[in-house]
Amino acid sequence: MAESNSPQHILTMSGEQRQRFLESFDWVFSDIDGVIYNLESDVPDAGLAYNALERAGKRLTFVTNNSVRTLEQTARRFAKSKIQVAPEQIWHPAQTLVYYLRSIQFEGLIYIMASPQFKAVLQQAGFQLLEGPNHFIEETYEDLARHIFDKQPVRAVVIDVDFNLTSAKLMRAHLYLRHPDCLLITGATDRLLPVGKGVNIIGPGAFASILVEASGQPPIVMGKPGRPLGDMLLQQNKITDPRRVLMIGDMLAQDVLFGRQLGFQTLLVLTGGCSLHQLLAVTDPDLLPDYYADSVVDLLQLLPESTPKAHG
Amino acid sequence: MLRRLCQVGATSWRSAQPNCHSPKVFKQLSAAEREKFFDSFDVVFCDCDGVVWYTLRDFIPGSAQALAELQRRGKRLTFVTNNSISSVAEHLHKFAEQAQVHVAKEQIVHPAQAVCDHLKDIGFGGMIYCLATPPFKQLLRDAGFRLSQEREGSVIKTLAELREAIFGGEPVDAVIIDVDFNLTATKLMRAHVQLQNPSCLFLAGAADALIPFGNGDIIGPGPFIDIVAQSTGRQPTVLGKPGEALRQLLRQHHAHIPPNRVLFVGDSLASDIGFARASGYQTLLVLTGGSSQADVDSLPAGHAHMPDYVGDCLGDLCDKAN
Repeated sequence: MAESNSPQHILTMSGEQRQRFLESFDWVFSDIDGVIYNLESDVPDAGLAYNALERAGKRLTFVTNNSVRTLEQTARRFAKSKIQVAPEQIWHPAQTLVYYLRSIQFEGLIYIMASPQFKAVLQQAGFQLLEGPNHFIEETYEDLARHIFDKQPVRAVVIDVDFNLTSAKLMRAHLYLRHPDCLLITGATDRLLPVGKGVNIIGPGAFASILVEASGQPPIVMGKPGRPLGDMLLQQNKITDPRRVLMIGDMLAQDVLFGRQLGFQTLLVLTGGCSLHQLLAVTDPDLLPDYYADSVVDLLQLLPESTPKAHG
Repeated sequence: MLRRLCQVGATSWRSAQPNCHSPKVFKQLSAAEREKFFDSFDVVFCDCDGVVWYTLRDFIPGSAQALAELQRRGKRLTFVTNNSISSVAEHLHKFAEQAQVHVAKEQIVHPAQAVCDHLKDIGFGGMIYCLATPPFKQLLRDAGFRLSQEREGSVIKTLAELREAIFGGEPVDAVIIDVDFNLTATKLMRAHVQLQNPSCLFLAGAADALIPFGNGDIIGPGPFIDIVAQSTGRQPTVLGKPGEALRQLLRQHHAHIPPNRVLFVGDSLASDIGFARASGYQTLLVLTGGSSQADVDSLPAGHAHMPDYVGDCLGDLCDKAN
């Protein structure tokens, strides 16, 4: 394991180091966007790396902050990259939230700012959702008040990616959060979302932080790097030694931080939201991965030749 | 030099004031203390909503008399509002209904007007992306500025539509953010994208963190401005309260007056009192708007939002002393 201050590129490891590294983990938790594919393009041959990991006996779980895609869409996209997954291998904030709400036996209304796909997951699990306003607000405080003040017993405010997020929705959420029993739950935490080469847009984490600050309430984070997500992953996989997990991802503040906080080993790949330049500038030890690679495909060079099954 | 020292911070002059830890209740001042108070300033900066009149409504009883009293005592009044929903003309019209108060156009500092004046000062002639109310935008159009049009109220269903909303539309040379009742995340993202161009100006008007509303606060425009400032790593020129550019603008208004000879009257602890104290002004909080006595009591001693004086209303200024 790399314990020095700077992360090690996995291809600079000696043969012996490679062997020790491969034997040091049983589980792989992997991010999806920026690792297997980006919005516009696939990471070439990424699928081969996961297939090889699986052949080497590693158990794969995909942990994404993206709830905009349904599980079916993700499975189809995976098939295109020649990765076979079962739905229960994919974790995203909406699914994690269902586990979480059941674990605390949540009852009550949920006010939600999220994608239709995210809402569908909660609805299918039997939760009652409120949303809006979706109307144009006349330019008066009276009309604004009509749309944001509501007396229904909302006991959780949920914010994830919402293409139609408005200031009025955030104001309404803030008013629900005045109730001492109303939880603030966030999904994806990214403050900036890479949407193409060198192009970012403002991510849901930035909007969630408005509610955190206005309400003074710490959020319960369902996406990476949230602690409840990590605990549920460990529990569901019955993992007792977190060092036996390798977390692969492209984001410092999501994937690496998540892995570090839970005691996983961490591997940063440079195919998504972090450049080598940004990695080398990291000073916060919580954001510093153990290893890095140009792409997840570099793992192929560490793993045994992809040999036909008959060979053993 | 003396003025420079005074401007360094609120503490430099406050240390000379007795009992500066908790605010003085204006009504409890003796006649002599009241006279000393009135002698301690020459200029008054006064908020409007929640101080002179109830937000967007009628004059608060006693406030017209108090303003008249200040004018009678030779104090120079400037009204510093964060409200661009009402135009400067509408503010003047409201003052004109009160026979005893005389207010001229120059005495009103207004975010939309301040932004407009700033753009004129720098000879700006480009395209503007303006996230503000219709009256704010109209003021800019009336002054001859060009505003980028936007489809409002359409629901975004796909990534392609999101992309079009953020990256479509013409390039602009300035982004302006004030109160926009129909502010959306995509508008802020379009602003974020336009501001990647370093020559695109970044201006803001009212920047309150919270706006008093009913029995509590609602989220103000400040956090939305902050999001774009953080995502772009750029600091906007903020020409509304509690902006640094407004602070400089007010200083220029009365460049020869030491800050401790200025009294700032407001109803918001953060946007008025905090803003004024950071300028080294004396401060009077009135309880007719966004703050209550309980809010003041909950501040720790010496807090940056602690006012020097608290009054139930502006009218306290012309009541007889105890």
